[in-house]
Amino acid sequence: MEQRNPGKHPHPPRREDASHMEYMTEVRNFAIRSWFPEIAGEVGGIAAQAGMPAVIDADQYAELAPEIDRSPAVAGWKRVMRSQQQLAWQKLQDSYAADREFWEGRLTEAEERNPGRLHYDPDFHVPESACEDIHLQPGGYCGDNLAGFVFYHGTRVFYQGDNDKDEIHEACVEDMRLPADGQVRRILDLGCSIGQCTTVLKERHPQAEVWGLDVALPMLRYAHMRATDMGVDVHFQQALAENMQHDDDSFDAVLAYILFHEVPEHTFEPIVREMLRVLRPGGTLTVIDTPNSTVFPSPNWMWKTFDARYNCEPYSQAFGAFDFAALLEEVGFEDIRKETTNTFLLNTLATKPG
Amino acid sequence: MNSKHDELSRAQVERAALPGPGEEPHFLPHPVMDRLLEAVIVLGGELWIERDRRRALESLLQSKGVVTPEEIETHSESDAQGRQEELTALITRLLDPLRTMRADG
Ligand SMILES: C[S@@+](CC[C@H](N)C(=O)[O-])C[C@H]1O[C@@H](n2cnc3c(N)ncnc32)[C@H](O)[C@@H]1O
Repeated sequence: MEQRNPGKHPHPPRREDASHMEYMTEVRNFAIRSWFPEIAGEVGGIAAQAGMPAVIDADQYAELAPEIDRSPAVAGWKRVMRSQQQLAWQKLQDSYAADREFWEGRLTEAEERNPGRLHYDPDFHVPESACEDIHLQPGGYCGDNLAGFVFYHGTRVFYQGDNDKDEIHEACVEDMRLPADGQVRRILDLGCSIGQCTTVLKERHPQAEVWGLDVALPMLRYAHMRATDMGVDVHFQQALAENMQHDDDSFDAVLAYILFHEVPEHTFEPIVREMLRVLRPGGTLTVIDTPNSTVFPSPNWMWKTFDARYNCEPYSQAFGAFDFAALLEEVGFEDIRKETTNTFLLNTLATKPG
Repeated sequence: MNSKHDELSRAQVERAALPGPGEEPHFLPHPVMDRLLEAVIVLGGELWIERDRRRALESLLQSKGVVTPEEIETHSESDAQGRQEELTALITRLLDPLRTMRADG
């Protein structure tokens, strides 16, 4: 059956999974597009009444939070956002788990069909910080062999239908800074998950050797199966971003798309140093992630703090407040530029001195 | 290093305090209200699954007069827009009571 062949844009296992995903996508659209503007009005009103300015820092938000949390509207919104996420994951996970052997067989079959492209060590130690149930996905990225299948569909809901054809991953690759000398022989996709940027990178730079690196083996196995089905020749490797197992000066360009807000703060510097090390002189770095600032409008704080605790983004707050561009400079990158895109993310571009 | 970081306010901790394993927070004044709301979302999902299937079935019945499960399983409807509008309307009906809720209840 066609839909049992994952490929680039697979269907979920059953028609009812597709219907449920579609429903959850619309619930999310409603909560974010129609409802959140009204919630923002309510939160902004509470802030104004307390005499707060339009943008506030974390301490100011902490002062307001008890009052904001007493708002039934805010409480209802949070409940819907959390339940939507939980219910979407649960249904997908149950559906794949019902036919576990078949799906695990698909992963194994791809490894046999396309050997030498998935690199991992069975004794690799996954740190605890990489085992969180990020975004409430049960078992997170590492806890279930089928996590990649579930992640693919779950994030389609998360992207509210805007990434059904990998449009967002294509935009990330489009936005990358590339070396001024035009030499692109090796590219690294750091924290690649299921390799959606990795395959776009290879399609855009067919002459280059492209590597996707991630700590989570279930993600990488899915990425490898997907790329194999697509006929795109890329490498996937299980490693820590802070210890990549690649030679000095061995990549021309590195992309890290929404990795940093999911790792603990004490790893920011080791990861940045490692990126500098593996880039060759003149090599370029593109980090696409949530914006770094110590001040935000009060409705953004409400969402950010909710997300951190109740959508399981335990490390996101620290990254949000961190001066990432300053760290890049301290570690030795140059020509650092921040670019806001039309999404809610920030692109930080940098170059290794030539 | 990273002077901004040194000034981090007390609300910035390295790892957010998450609910414990198996612990479900409630946001509304009573946990039952959270559960009821979740039930409504579940109900909407069930309803949509059924409706989606029924629409497929009816459309097949109309065009052929004969239905097999495989046909339903793989059927894709021509009236995508009408279908989308029906789903949006359903969700609006379910959640509008919340959208219009204010601090005074
Ligand atoms: C939000 S996902 C990244 C999404 C991905 N870049 C994409 O294109 O869709 C974050 C990824 O970072 C990985 N990760 C977390 N900590 C890591 C670490 N220390 N080293 C490498 N990967 C890590 C996770 O396993 C997860 O797959």
